[in-house]
Amino acid sequence: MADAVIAGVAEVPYRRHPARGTTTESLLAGAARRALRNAGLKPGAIDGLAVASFSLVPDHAVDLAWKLGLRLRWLMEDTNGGASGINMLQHAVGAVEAGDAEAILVLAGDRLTGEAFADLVTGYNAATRDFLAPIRFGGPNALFAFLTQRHMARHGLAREDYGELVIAQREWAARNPGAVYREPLTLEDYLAAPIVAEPLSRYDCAPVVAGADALIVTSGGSRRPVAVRALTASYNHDQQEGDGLRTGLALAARSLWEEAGAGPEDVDLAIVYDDYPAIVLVQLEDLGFFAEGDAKRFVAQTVAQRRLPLNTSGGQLSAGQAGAAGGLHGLVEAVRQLRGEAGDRQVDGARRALVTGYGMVLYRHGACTNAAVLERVR
Amino acid sequence: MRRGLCVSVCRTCGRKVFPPRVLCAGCGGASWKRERAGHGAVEEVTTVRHAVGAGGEVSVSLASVRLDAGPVVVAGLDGQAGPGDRVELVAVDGAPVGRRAKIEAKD
Repeated sequence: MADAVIAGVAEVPYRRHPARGTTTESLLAGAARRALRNAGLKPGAIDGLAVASFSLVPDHAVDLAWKLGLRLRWLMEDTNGGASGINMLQHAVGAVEAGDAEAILVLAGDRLTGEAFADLVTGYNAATRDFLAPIRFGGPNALFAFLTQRHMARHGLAREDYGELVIAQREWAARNPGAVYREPLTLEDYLAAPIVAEPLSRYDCAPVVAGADALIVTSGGSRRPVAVRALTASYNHDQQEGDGLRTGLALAARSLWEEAGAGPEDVDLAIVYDDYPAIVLVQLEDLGFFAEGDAKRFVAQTVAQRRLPLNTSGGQLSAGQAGAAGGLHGLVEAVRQLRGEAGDRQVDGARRALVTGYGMVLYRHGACTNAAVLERVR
Repeated sequence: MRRGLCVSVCRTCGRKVFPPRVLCAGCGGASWKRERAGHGAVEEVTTVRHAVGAGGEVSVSLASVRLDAGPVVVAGLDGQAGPGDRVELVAVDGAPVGRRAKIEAKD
C-alpha cells in the first residue's frame, strides 16, 4: 500500500466576532474549500471524511457529508477536543495506507455562541455536570489554576516565566494575519492583566473564537507532500488520580522519537497544544525537550532567547481557540511551515516538526494526549 | 441538598475513588460501597473572577482538597481557607463543599 501523506491544509481566519450568518457548517465548508484548493484537488476526489466539532449537534459527520455534497466510502467523527486533530490524522493515515480511502478530508471547527459555550462548559461530561457545575466552577480555568499552582511550586516557576512564553507566542502572532490578538505584549502588560482565577490572567487562557481548520490525507501525488513519520497517543493514562503535571506523552516519548528517527533536538519547530502556558511546559518536559525539573532554565535559555520556534501561529493563546479546531490548528500550522507556506512567519528551512494534542478534562485535568512528528518529503 | 460527602470503595480491592466509576481501575471489580469522607487538607485554592456564561465579574472560591480517604476533589469553599488548612466537607447537590475545620477530627 502507498504511504499516506498530507497533501494540503487550510484554516479560515479566526474571528472573535464572526460576521452575521456565520455558522459552524459555513466555517467547516470554508476550510474544506480552501484545503481542496491548497491540495490541488476537486471535491469529487474526496472519498473519506473525518470531523470534530462541538457545535455540529444535532448533526453528525454524515449530515456534514450531505451538506458538503461529498460521496464517501470512509467516515468518522471525533469527540476528543484538543486531541481530535492528531487522532483523526492517525485514523486517516491508517485508512489510506490500508486502501480504505484514497483522499480523506479532515475537518474541525466551531462557532460557539455565548449560551452554547456556557452549556458546553458546564455539561462537558457527566462528571462536570454532576460534580463541578454545582459548585459554580465556571469552566476549566479554575482547574488549570490549580494545576499551574502545582507546576509553579514543583519547579520554582513564577508568573514571569509563563509570561515569557506568552510574549514569545504573541511575537509570532504579530506575523500571522489569521490570529485574533496580534499587538505586541510586554511583561508589564502581562503581569498587570486582570486575574481570571489566581494565578491565571486573561493572557493565560486561550480566547474563544469562531473558526475552522482542514487537512487532506492522500495516497500520494501531492505537490509538496508532508509525511507523518511518527504518531503516538495516550488516553486516560492516570485515571485522573495524578497531579496533571505528567501527561501520557511521558510514557510514549521514547517510542515516538525512535519511530521518527529523530529527537527533540532535531525538530525545526514545535507546535505544542497551549490552552494554558503551564500545559505547554508540561508536554515539552514529557517529550524530553528539557530534563525533568528544568522548566525554569528552559524558559530562560530557550523560550526567552527564541532558540526554538514554538507555536509559530501565535498558538491558541494568541491566535484563538476555535473549539474543536484547537486540535487541528497545530497540524495545519506545522504543515504550512514545512511546505514553506507560512508567509511572514516562515521558519527558514523547516523540514521536521513536532505537533501535540491535549484535551478532554474529565474532572481535574486533560485525559487525552497525542503527538506527531511531521517531515517534508522533498 | 446537603448531606455527607462519600467516596466509592471497591469491595474487591479497596481502591477509593471520587467521582464514582463503573469498574475499578485497579482490579476490574464492579461492586462498590460508599464511605463517608468528611475531612481533608487543602492543596490549592483559587478565586474564579470570570465564569463562563456569568456575564461579568464573579467571586467563587474553590479548593483542590486531598481527602483523608485518598482521592483529590475539587471543592467549593464556604469561607476562607488556604493551602495546608484542614477542611470539613459535605456534599451540596452532590458536589464537595469544604469549610475550614474548627477542631481536628477524623472520620
